[in-house]
Amino acid sequence: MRLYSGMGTGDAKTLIERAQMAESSGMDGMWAEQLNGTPFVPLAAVAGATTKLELGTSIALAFTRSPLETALTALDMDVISNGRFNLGLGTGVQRLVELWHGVPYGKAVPHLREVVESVRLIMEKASKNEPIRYDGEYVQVNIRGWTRPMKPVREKIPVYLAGVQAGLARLAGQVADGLLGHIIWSPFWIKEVIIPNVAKGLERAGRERKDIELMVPLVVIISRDEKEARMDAAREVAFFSTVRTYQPLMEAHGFGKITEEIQKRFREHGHSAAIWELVTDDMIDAFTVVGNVDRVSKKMKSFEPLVDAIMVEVPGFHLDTEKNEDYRKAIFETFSK
Amino acid sequence: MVNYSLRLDDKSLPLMIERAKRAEEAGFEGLWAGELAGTPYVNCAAVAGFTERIKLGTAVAYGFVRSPMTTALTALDLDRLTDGRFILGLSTSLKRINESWHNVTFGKPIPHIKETVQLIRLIMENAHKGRPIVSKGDYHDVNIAGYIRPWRPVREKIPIYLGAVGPGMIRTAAEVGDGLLAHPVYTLKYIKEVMQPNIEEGLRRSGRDRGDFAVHLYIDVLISDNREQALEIARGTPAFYATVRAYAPFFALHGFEDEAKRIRETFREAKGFTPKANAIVTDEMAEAFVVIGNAEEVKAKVAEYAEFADGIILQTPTQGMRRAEREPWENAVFDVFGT
Repeated sequence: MRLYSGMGTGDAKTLIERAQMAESSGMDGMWAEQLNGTPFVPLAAVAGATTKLELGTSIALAFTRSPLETALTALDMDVISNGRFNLGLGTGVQRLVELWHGVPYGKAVPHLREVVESVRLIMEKASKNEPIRYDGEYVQVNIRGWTRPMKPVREKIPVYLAGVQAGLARLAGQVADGLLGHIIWSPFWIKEVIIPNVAKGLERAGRERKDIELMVPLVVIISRDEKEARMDAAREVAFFSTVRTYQPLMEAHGFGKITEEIQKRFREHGHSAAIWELVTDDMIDAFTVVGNVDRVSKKMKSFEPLVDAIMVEVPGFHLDTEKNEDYRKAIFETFSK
Repeated sequence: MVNYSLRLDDKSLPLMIERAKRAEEAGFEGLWAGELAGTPYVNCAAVAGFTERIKLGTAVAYGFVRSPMTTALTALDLDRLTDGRFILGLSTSLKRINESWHNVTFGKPIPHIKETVQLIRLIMENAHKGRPIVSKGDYHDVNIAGYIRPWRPVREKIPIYLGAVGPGMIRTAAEVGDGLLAHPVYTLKYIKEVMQPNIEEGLRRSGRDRGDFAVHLYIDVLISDNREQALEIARGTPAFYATVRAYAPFFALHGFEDEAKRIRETFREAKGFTPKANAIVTDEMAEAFVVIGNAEEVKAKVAEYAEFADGIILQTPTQGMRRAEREPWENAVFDVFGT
């Protein structure tokens, strides 16, 4: 089982210290997300201070940069990390892409497929001094008279896709080197929805299970103060319960009624105690890993038959607080190889 | 007093970090990363943790190939990463690069970049406030509601500079930007006759003074006692830019219309750059675009440019040369302009 950690955010010094701690504890890699900022910036910041750690985006939004821009950024990241970069791409949710970024979303799955194909094509051909042409429904690229003046560090940069539900799991099975799960993937969901759909995608593309890495991110809170830890976990679960796109997943787990109520209260009260208090212990245990070292280790072991890698993540809610740094340190110490 | 900056790029990260540290120690004001073969934000981020004082900027990042929100958040991230040392340099780039290579709308570049700059600024200044950010223009239609960036920005304002070639874009930079990143093809003649009056016009339109605006000139320098060798290298600079059709009026202004046309013909015939193109470049043409001479001569010529600028970005036009061949030219820049 490979073990990754979330990158988090911070100034350069904080990020570098954190990455060095992850590297010396034997983590296989770190992943940076795109929400409040951009994933490439923190990864680039730690590249020069680490030597073994893989650096990946989890995710970079696929539709808010041009495919050429994404491909060149990935090639640059592979140069500065000397071949340690993983490009994780995701669609983002429709409202965010269309209203916040002002760019077309279209049909998410075919759109993402075109982005993956065109980005790969550009990465592969950028240094070969030949025209690069891609003609899809969402992506048209026609690059002539340009060559990237340096050779790529590696023949291929792994491309991971993020998916929560069946459609993107199938697409990942067809075209991706890895599937980045979502924090709200539970063992139940992985077994019932993700694995069968990845298998379908693999079969369609004539690929095998070993051709794709399944990775699940887990919010892990290791703490002696169980009550406080569960409160932090509840806030995290409440946050994801407000996203209507995830409602089918919540319903499949039998939490549909509660999350509907959370969404209703959220519209009125925002992120506050009014929604946290609705999160049940069952929800916390379905979506997060909370407790002392033994309990956490046992629960993580239960994912072993299901996935190839786990990314341990601290709750997003507290962001850069000291408490989150303590949670991170506990993770690095607990899983130190 | 004018300050000096350098370009930020290198073959590998250890070399780039070494260069950044060396530039900081030598008292250079800033380092600028460009976009064409790669992306500028990555390089800025990569050296942030290894420097403390030197400013890091993009010169330039393309304005239309990322969503305004992506650019704004990237700039905010870099300002946080560098503790307030970041400068966002943007440009339109060329129509063909936008439309055919990047698959994005180019439209009318001046209104498009104005709208983009204003929207990026709006997002940068309001992202942490949690109020809806709404903007509807000819090129961008965003409605950012329900989002709050959870950190206060390091600075109230991140400077936005614009890269410009033609007079319209120079006016635009002076109208909506905090600074101008002059293209390396600017000559002294162009600076005096075109850049100066258009900056004045742009500032007048926005009711600002010259003190509110920073002008950074890109200058190619080749410092050597061996004038012939420097000249041979320097011919490559105008030969390269002459192949770009959009710069044709620019060469005409300097009386090099015929040379530029012949260079474009060699490019078309050979489907790429050939030594023939360099052979067309006369000594006079090479020296109009590249500052050549020994240390004293180059200092004196650069001082003539400095009268019109707040900052000068020095670069050696040694693309395509092997590292060992490039090094002496770069070292000379450190020797002459470093402290």
